[in-house]
Amino acid sequence: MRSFQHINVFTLEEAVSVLKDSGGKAQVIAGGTDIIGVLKEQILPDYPEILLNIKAIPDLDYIKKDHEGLRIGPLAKLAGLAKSPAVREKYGALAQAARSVGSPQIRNMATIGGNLCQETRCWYYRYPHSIGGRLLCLRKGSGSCLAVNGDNRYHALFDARRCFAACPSDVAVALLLLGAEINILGIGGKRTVYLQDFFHPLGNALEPGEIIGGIHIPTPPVGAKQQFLKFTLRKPIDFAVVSAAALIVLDGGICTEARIALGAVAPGPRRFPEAENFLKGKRLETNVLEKAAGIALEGAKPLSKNGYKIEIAKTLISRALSACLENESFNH
Amino acid sequence: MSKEFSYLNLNKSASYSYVGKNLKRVDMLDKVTGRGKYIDDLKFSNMLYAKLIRSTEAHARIINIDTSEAEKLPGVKAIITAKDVPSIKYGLSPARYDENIFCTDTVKYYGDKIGAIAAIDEETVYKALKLIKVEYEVLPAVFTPAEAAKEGAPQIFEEYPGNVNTEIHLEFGDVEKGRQEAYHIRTDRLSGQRTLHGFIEPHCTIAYWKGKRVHVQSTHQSVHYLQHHIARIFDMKEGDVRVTLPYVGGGFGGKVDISGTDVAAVALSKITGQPVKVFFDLEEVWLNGRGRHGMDMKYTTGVTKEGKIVFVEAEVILDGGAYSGLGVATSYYTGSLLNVLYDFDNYKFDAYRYVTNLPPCGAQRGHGQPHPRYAFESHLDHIAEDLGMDPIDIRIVNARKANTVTPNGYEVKSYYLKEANELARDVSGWKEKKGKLPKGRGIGVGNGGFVTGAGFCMYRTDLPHSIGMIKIYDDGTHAIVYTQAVDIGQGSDTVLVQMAAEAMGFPYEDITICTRDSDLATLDYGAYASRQTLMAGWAVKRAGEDIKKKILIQAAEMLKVKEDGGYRSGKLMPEELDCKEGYVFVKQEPAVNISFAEVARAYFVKHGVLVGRGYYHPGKLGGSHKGAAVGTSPAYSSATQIAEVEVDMETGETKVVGTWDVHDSGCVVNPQLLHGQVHGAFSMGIGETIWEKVVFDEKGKLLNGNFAEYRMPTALDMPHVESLVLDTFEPNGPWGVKEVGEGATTPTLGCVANAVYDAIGVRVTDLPLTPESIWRGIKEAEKAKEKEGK
Ligand SMILES: Cc1cc2nc3c(=O)[nH]c(=O)nc-3n(C[C@H](O)[C@H](O)[C@H](O)COP(=O)(O)OP(=O)(O)OC[C@H]3O[C@@H](n4cnc5c(N)ncnc54)[C@H](O)[C@@H]3O)c2cc1C
Ligand code: SF4
Repeated sequence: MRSFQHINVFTLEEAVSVLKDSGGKAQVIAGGTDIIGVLKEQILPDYPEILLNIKAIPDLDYIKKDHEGLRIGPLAKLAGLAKSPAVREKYGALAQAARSVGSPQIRNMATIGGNLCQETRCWYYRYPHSIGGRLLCLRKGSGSCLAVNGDNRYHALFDARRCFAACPSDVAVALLLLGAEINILGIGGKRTVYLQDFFHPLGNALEPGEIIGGIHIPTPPVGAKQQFLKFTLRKPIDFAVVSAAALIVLDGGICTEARIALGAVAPGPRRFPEAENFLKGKRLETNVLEKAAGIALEGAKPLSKNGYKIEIAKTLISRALSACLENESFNH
Repeated sequence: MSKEFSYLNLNKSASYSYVGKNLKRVDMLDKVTGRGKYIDDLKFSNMLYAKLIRSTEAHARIINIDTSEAEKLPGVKAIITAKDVPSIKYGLSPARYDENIFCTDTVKYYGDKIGAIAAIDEETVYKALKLIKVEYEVLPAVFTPAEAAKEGAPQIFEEYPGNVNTEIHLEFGDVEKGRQEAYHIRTDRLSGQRTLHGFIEPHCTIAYWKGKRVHVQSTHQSVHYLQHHIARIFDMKEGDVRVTLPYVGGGFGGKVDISGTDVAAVALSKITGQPVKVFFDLEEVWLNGRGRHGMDMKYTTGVTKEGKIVFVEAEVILDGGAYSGLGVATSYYTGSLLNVLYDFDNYKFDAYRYVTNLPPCGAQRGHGQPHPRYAFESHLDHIAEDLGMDPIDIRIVNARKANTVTPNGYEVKSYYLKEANELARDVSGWKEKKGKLPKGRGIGVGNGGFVTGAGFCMYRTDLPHSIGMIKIYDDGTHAIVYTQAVDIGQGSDTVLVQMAAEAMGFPYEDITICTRDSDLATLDYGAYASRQTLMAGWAVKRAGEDIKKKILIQAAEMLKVKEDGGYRSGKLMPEELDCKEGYVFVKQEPAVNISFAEVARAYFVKHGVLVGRGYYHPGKLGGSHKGAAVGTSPAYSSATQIAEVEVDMETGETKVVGTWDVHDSGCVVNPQLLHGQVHGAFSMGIGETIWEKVVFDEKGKLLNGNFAEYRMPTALDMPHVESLVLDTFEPNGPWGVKEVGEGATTPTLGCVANAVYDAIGVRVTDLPLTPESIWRGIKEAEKAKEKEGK
């Protein structure tokens, strides 16, 4: 591993200003579970000279209830999210998603901010530099996509155009379901983006020098039932082939609110308004759920090797929905 | 949970002091405290760090290697390529030495060895690697046996026309006659994938020269073969090569070949005059390869109405990757043990191993067996189904019996496969489950076994296979056992100390084992072919008995029987004495005794050092056909495994919910270590059945050289394992022992695959049985059914 400078910062403002002064040579490190691997394998052509340790900033790992919902600090650990009574009570899908990540060791280190900013798992993108040189592709700013004509069994089904990498974050799926907003801090001040606008086909909404300062989740509708499910090949320590989250509100057996989100099928987590609308106003019989799952996947554009993900996604959607109905955990 | 279970109870282990006991591993504290040294813990002053320069083409002619920029980098001490090292070819099969230290003309796979760089630290080596420029003339490449076999396919080696590296055609008995006699004949084709061992310690070698001698420290499964091949490659005397192995972090067959780290370290340290450490990163372990071959297998079998096999025709096609390594032996092993397991006379076996432009394949736990076992056990289930027979019954009908000779000439002494099947059936609840489980749940059986050590050295020699030596300390209180047996984690150090203790009658706790050092310890071929317990065991046992003999002679002079009312008066003879757990006593009157230490000290005063010597050579074993050397062995283990699975019919996901293993392993020296091997075998075998596969892109580049994408099961993926032993006795083994290590993986793939078949009603023929392939299997079957319905 090449050497770098490791600098502690003690406020978010200081972090932003060091990032600015470094002229692109510094990068944030939080739990380090993703970035250390990225640097060790030298998968990217640019290598930071400075790692800016934001873990030294006090009190940024909060998980706080207020009258508008839940506020989560960028350094909140996934283990903490999975355990937090506040999260489990009203934001169950988020607790389940956080619990599904990696192993206890990883969840004890990994932060929510880092989870949203982690690099894609596309295996061409992650190809280690030490064995014959890193692979350059469109996402790295040079050449074309290697996956589209290659082995794309884990790649995106929706919204991808030139890069077909899927977003690996499970936490993002739950956050999207729950309508979260991301507070971003930069040289120019603060701004807020909705989670659905955070992920871009080739990265995310952060401009150079910007960092995630916090996350806000509005209080879910009264009576909402939620469920996050994840399909992996191996049981623990594995990324999602597909993950799904659903939220449902029933009134007298009739669906008044429905949300469906999928992960690992697009450049970001994705909602399915047509399928959601289809559910509203209906009694949620099994065939209705299956129909909704079918509608959700109608627009999927499989690549040469990932067609199977469509079937997994459909199954997960119906199971997540019916788990909401049963209000019992099907968690993988 | 594992039970001590004496089913057959054929040996007398109950009366032993140390053999048959769950004693603590001798390396336990070293390993759990982190105090034990693995190679990466070793540091030497002045040590240089080095890495291999690897090919970035799958098949290409090297036009030019420009090292000039890298040489200018401060801290770079040496850069070597083919022109700087001996050009002799090496490998593990003498008939197929085909690997150079560094590629001389063409590179044969992506990651092939082109050279090496040594520098003052790791960072400089990585920097220097980036400055090497290799100019290639790219050649067309082949990545599958089918491509390699095509007319006009690019030739990878001149010496392997048509890219055929090994071709085997054997026939025993009369297959045509069998065909006439058969009541039912069936053919099945299945395939197995490339997998890798998955040990966590990457290969690494540190070498340094002192005068004409070189000291090589490495991650290896054999002291002797490394010493032999380093001497051969560098044209040295074996006595000038000292090999030592620190603790080895797993091997499973992947550390039997001479690795690029070994040859590069020896060459670089010679040139620089400094200790040199050559190390792999994890992904390079995949590039080094030597794991399981990809295989296409076709079996045609004829049976009688009762399910008795009357002939088998087997054809196996192996994807060998770029070099031979152990692949010739692998090819023979794919066929040679089938009729050890099942007793039938007429057997035709053809195999073709192709070279391809991918990392070389070699030996992986169960060497050449697990895939063919998987295929044949699946095939056998279909035959049973065709006949309306229970899968266990057809196995019992065909199970080999003890004291028989196979049609290919192998002599099988102890063999209790029938009993293993019966017990496995009874403890797993097979009768209540088979055919009675709900859709999506299934139970399956698989049989297997292995050689207990190969009958021949890998190269031609008249050396014994194992030599043991034991030295007793001057004051008689401690013993050192010397052997080059290699503990790669399987526990051979522990069982050899148990055996030494038993043979001498000396306390287990007072023995130290000195292993893995060619200067200090005595010859043994190392850890492969499941040989340590039997072969090194014999040598250590005999060394211990040699000590005991000398102790009893000495004690006879020292012990006095009571004159009045005693056992008898007069001088004692050694035959009247025995020694156990550190005391020599009169057999007829144990109260008359003396401590081993006192006797040993007296011996030392009188004669000097007390040393015991043991020798083992298996002698001439059965089989005379070409390739008989691969498969002949002093003893054969057998085992039955049963797995119960749950398949999610919507996603194709398989969960193994229960496993049972019954082993015919002879006398079990340390039951806990045996159960550990069985648990490990299930974990490896389940991984290979459901998840594991080495993936390359269309240009031969490795895509999943890491443990995130190359999925091996974790503890949470493991089912309950019920491991039982039959407690059998093998006349050719010390105390009646046989192997467990490699054989235990051989039934697993078949039993899990058969359970999946039972659960879903469709045979998915290609490993691994991923959720996707199972799901597709289910869908295709549904479609076929619909069509039928119309
Ligand atoms: C074995 C393994 C299994 C895994 N399995 C899963 C899984 O199943 N599901 C899943 O979702 N994830 C999984 N992950 C990914 C893991 O969740 C992420 O690595 C982790 O959440 C990243 O958090 P971190 O704090 O360690 O980030 P770091 O590694 O420190 O940082 C990651 C990136 O985020 C940036 N960053 C961090 N904090 C901020 C901030 N506040 N503002 C702006 N940028 C920031 C860093 O600059 C860096 O680019 C797995 C990882 C491993 C190693
Ligand atoms: S999917 Fe994206 S990251 Fe992967 S190879 Fe294509 S462009 Fe690169």
